[in-house]
Amino acid sequence: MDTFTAEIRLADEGVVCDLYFNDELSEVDASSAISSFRREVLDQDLREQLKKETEQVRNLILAHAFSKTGISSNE
Amino acid sequence: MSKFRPIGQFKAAPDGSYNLLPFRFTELNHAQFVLSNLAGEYLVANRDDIPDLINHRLSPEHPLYIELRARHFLIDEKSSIAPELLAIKLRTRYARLAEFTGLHIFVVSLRCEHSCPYCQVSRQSEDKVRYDMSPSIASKAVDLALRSPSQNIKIEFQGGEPLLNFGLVRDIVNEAKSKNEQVRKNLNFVIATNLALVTRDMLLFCREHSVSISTSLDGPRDLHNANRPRQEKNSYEKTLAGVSLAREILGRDQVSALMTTTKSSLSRVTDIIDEYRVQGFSGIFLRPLSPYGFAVKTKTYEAYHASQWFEFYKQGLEYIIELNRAGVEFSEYYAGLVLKKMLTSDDPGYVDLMSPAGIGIGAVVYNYDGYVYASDEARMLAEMGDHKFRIGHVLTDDYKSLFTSQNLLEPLEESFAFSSPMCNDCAFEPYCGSDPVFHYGKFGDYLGKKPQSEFCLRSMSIFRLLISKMEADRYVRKLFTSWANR
Repeated sequence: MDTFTAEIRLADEGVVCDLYFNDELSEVDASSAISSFRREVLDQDLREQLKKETEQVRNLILAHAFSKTGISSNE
Repeated sequence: MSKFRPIGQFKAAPDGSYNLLPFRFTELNHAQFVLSNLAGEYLVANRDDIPDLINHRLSPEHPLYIELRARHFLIDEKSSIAPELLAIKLRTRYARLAEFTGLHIFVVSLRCEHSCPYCQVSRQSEDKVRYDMSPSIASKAVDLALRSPSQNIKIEFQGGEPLLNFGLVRDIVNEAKSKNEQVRKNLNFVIATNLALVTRDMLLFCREHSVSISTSLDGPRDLHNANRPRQEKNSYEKTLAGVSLAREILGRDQVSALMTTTKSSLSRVTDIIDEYRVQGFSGIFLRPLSPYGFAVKTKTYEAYHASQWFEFYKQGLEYIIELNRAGVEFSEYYAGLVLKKMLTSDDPGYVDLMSPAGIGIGAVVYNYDGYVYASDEARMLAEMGDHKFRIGHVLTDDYKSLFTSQNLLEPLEESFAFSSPMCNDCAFEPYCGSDPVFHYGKFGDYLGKKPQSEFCLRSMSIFRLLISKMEADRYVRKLFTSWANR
């Protein structure tokens, strides 16, 4: 938010992301900011995907970790 | 692993071919890959063999084939029991997890008479007694520690300098032992102290109650005193005098030391190791600075990059290997922890290398003011004003409320390495850890961005180094195996 704000909308061609830069930036700096944003989107997308795919394993292992604490119950 | 393939996929193929069991692979160097299975067993394979393996073209006569079968990377008609064996190893690996919190850290005082610029806890000056833990807080913390399901409980006294509140240390030991008569845990105590203020009476108490000592020794006199200033400029002398007295009264094996790497240390690793040898220690734990407390305020933390520390570590490890080769028994303890994970089915339970993260599960901290933190690093982050990992207060929260705090559960779930991009397909994941406190402190989220993470860079560099050394040198393999099995 300190560099640009993003407006996300659905369009015929898919999801469109318009970036509005707060101040005037050089082309290099703008390009760098856009690359960072793309990487962030990819990273968050991967996190969501992996979180879903590995949910059962994760829950199994965390449940095992807490299994003897006596703080989980059938309440 | 969220979906199961048809059972036929896991049966031995009848026609002499093979089926693959789950594994991951990561580059070791330009010509080789490390493969690791679910139980963390690893193999090194040439780059060119990987496509053949994955496309089921690897011949049973290939030298790699037998190793892959023996270590449960593939299954054929001669190895139908492999999935069951893999499952047993996996269960063994995770068995310790359900023991839950074994390490309970009591910060009995934030006061200290040293002024170490890299101090991670924003120590207070000696005369501020309001930074001492009170007896009522200590008593509740003892109850919480003994409430842990772990059969093995270690109570570690930290500070500041815990000897400045030795009266409370004594009371906590006595109270814990008294209450333990009901629950019968294996109870151990350790004091993390600079030893500058230790007395014979204190050590006699420690001997009577089997309290061991962990102190700080950063290297030769000039380095140690530069790193750890005291008004009288005699930290080194005080530490060694304390070590000598502690060994005399408690026994050599009850006194250990830790070092911290500063920028001044980077070119002196062999001097530091030699100092440990001269002082009669049988090993050293080469560790980097953490980004907390005064280490951040004084910019000591930013004084060097992870790659510089890794060169320091590599040089130190190679020096220690050569010492051993020349007949001098001396260990590097961090390598020992990692090697235990690489070469055995055991997990050492080292808090910084756990996934799920060691916060809460491996260790918990009861601060002098009664607040409870998910780890030592979480407490240090709090000293910088960020209470993200504070899970409650001993006087107002019970065990359930502390360990179901969202400040614990959320980072545990969000930082799970197997669910993390890059970690999920990394062959080194079984040996690595999550460290949500570090990543939160550096990146503002529990996971961080691994390509930018110094934790990741440092860890992967060490894993590659250890495996490369073992692959290249049989002596080193034997030495490392002995460290792993300690």
